[in-house]
Amino acid sequence: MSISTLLVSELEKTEDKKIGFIFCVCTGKCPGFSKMDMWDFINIIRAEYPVEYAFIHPMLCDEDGERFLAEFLKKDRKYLVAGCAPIMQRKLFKDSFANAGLDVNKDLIPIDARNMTTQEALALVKKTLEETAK
Amino acid sequence: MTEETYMGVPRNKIPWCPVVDYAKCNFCEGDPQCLKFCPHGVFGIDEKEKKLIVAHPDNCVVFCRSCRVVCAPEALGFPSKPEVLNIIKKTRENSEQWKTARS
Repeated sequence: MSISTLLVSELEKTEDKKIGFIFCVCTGKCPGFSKMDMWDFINIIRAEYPVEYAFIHPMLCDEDGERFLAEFLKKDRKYLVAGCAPIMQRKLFKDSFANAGLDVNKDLIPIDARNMTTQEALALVKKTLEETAK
Repeated sequence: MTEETYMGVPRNKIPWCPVVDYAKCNFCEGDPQCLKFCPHGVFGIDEKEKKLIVAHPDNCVVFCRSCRVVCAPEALGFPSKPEVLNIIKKTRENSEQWKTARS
C-alpha cells in the first residue's frame, strides 16, 4: 500500500467516525434547560437519531466530568455535545480531547442547546447531524 | 434559581458564586466578557462606580466555574468546593425533610 493510499484511508477513517451524543446539562438545575423536557429530548435522540448512543451528563466541565472524559473518550469517535456555547465547550474540553488523542476542533461537534424547547433542540441536533454527514 | 434546591438544599443556603478580585479586574475595557458569557445574569454593572458586580449570586449554577475561562485577567475566584459540599451536607443533615434519608 502506498503512502498516499494510507493517508487517504486514514482521512476516510477520520471522516467516517461514528458519533456519540452527550447532553451536558449544567447540573440539570440550570435555568437554560427549563424550557425543554430533558428526558424526552435524550430518549428521542437515543432511539431515533443516527448516533451510537446518547446520554445525559450533569456537568462535564467539573472535576468529575474531566475524570469521566479521561476514561470515556475514544479515538475512533466524534462527540456531539449539546450544552453551553460552542466556544466555551472548545475551551473547556480542549485538554480532555487532546489527552485522548482527539482534536477538539474536528472531533467535538458542540451545539448550544440552552433556552430551547424540546422540539427546537431536536431540530438543531437533526440539522447538525445532517451537516456532519455531508 | 432562588426557589430551587441543589443536592436537596435550597439554593439560597448555598454560598456559591464568583468573587471579583478588583485588583485584577480591568472591566475588559468596558466590555466585560463574563457578563457577556453568563446566561444567568449573575454579573451586573454598577453604573455609578463603573465596575463589575455580582448582581445575582443565587443565579450562579452551583459548582459552575465556566466564567473563569473567559476572564483574561484571571480576576474571578470561587469558594472552595469541599467547603461548600460540607455546608450542603450539614444543611441537609439538619433538615427535617431529610430525616428518612439519614435513618
